[in-house]
Amino acid sequence: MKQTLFSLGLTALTALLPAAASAFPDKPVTIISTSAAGSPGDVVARLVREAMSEELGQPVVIENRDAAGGALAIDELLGTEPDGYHVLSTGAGPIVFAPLLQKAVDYDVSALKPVVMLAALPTVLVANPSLGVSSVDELIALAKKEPGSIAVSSGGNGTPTHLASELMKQLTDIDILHIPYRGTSAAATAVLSNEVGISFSGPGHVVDQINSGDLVGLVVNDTKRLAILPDLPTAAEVGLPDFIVQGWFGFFVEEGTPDEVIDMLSSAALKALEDPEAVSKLDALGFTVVGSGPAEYQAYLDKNIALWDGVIKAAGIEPK
Amino acid sequence: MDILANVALGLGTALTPANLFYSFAGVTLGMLVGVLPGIGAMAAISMLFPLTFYIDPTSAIIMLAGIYYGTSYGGSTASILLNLPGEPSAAVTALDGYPMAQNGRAGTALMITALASFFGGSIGIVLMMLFSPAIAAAALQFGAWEYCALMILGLVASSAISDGSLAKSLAMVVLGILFGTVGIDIYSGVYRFQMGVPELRDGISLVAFAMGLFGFAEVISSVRGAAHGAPRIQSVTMREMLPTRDDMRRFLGPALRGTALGSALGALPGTGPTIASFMAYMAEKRVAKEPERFGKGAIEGVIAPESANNSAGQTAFIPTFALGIPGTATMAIMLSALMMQGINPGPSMMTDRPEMFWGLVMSFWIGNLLLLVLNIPLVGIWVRLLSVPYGVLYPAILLFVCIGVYSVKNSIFDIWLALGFGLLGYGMRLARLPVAPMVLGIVLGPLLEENFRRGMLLSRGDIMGIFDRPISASVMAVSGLLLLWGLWRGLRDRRRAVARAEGS
Repeated sequence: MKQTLFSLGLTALTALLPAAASAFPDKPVTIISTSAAGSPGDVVARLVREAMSEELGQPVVIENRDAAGGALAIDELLGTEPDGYHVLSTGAGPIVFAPLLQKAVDYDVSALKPVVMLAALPTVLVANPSLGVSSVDELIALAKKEPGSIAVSSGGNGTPTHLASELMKQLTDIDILHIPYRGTSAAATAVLSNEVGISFSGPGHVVDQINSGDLVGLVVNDTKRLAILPDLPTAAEVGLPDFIVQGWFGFFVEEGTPDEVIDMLSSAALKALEDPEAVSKLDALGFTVVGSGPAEYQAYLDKNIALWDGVIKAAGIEPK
Repeated sequence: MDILANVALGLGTALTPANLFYSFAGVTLGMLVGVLPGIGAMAAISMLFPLTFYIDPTSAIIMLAGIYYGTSYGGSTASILLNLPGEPSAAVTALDGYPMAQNGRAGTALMITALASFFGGSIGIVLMMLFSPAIAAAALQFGAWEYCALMILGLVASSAISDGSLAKSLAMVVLGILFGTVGIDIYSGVYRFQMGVPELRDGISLVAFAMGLFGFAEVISSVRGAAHGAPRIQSVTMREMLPTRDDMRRFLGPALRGTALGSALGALPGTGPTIASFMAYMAEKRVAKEPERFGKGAIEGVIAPESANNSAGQTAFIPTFALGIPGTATMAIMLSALMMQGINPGPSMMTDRPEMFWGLVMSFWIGNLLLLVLNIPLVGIWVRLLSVPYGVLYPAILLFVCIGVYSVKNSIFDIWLALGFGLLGYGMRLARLPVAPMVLGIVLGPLLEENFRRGMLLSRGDIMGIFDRPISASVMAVSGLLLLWGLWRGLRDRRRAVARAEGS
């Protein structure tokens, strides 16, 4: 008897569930961002925020918590109920690189479930004109002739721009001198001032310098050419199809969030990416619009983690 | 003439009602967050960044820029009145500004600060109008060794920062440098002195450090005086607040020297207003005929750093706009506001979008003028703040300091950190250890280490690299002369003292 009542109760509850899910969202949704205001990850989230809010019929607010490499933001998310009202906006730093490069991270990456991947941001390899190279081939030839003579700047040891140069060393078997800087802006200044010969940089910050001839663009580390730098060859076009370096940005929720809610959040964000104005803005900033749902996103993540795990191990970089 | 046409074009943009409004809104907000201890330009600009999605890019940048240079105007107010800097760049202003206030000259100090800020800001703008491309090109000549030499010069000069014992001052500089080593080492990726606290990974927040050492420490030490301390009497009539003829006679030299140093250091992407104000103060004390007046309310000690940090605030825009590369995190947000609107920053911005560049520059003039006009009547109000009873004033200050420290990174830990530094600062006061050199240490130390190690990497381990390059070699020579001069002066003083002792 007891048993029957219990299962009856369960059935009643299950009957209620779809109604509960369709009621989502009945209050504002908070996006907790691991990116600082104005940084690429923040810009992507803000570009989809408004359309997403229209789609969900509720306000969507963004909260920037970039301290401690995003650890605080993730801790905050994991401390909330897994009901979809708190969404994490993040990128490769806290999800891919921190777990690979740190002995212990302060959050549990496996407790995060991918919702939607919004955009990717490839790096662009640039050279100072005085280096005298105008293609990746010429760069490799020069580096082989004078091993260790070409310096490459990065935004710091273990940052994506540093790992990009490690990837290049592994793919082309060249010897270049890595010089870390504090942040990617300083790294870009260094190649502009000819303190180093080459650098990996986000496209938006070097478009104008490439067009004005202050820098030479060598390759975009992506499978597609960029709208803002249409003359720059892709990795495959320079004969190095694996020379792909992408930052990526997307949303996650806490494990245990109902699938229906994840799907609603995901399709609202995807809808926002259909807005031509958002797309043209992302293009102009050098992003590649991606727009993949939870399953596709998870597959991309697995591949991305395996790629950098390989590069880090091959470079002999120990977790700190 | 070309420049006149550009000025006209710029005024055409800057004087539209909308842009006037955004300039006014920006500088007013900037001044207010500058006055409030702890809350800085970075936090205010981050908060307003989302707003720029909805307004014209030129207006957006006019407003954000107004916040940025407006804070350097307001930053010194609390330094002078309460001995707690509104911004780290105004920390050094407290050294002579606060004694001036204690001597009943708070109004004069604030007035002269407004004038010095306007002076420095104006010259910074003129430089930006006339020489942006040349200055940007010169700034690119500064590589690792040049920065390294500059930091060494700053440390050699740092003994001038306090009037107490040289040994104590140097010890505090070194302690500051040690605090600067906390956080990630960019060369190895190792986290130093993190002690399991994730918040320490990015290093010690400069705002938490300065607000703790100055703000919390000041509040703690005034608790004792609060019970029986009568509010300090200040002259608030306009006549008494106006600088005397003697003050004005002393104005031009420090203002010019401060502006020169500030403009130069502001235009370098690796340095900024904080280093500029410290360097200007140290230089001023070095050239002063009576250096012993410093630290006791010398007006030159207010004029030099204030003209320096304001001129630096203006020239910081030069590399940002002429090269398209932001020198600081704040500048990065501003450029991001432009990129959001489809404008890729870079050298072509000045030629392709002259109405924007010149509109911005002309809005700086308007903004600086607005700040001057806003500041003078406010001086009387700020000074009256001092007659607010301690029991009301200090809790309010604590609240603002906590909000400000939190707002930098939205981190509660930073408030605890500031409290810790407050206790340290209080202990240092009891032991008569100077605080300002420690702030200099935490600012210069990381830059010194970073550039020294980069220089060594680039010159393949050859330390003589620093003497191979003309700029770094000259700066090193100046440091060497400064050291010799200090030694010679020390010996001379000792000989005189000995002679006097023998004569008597």
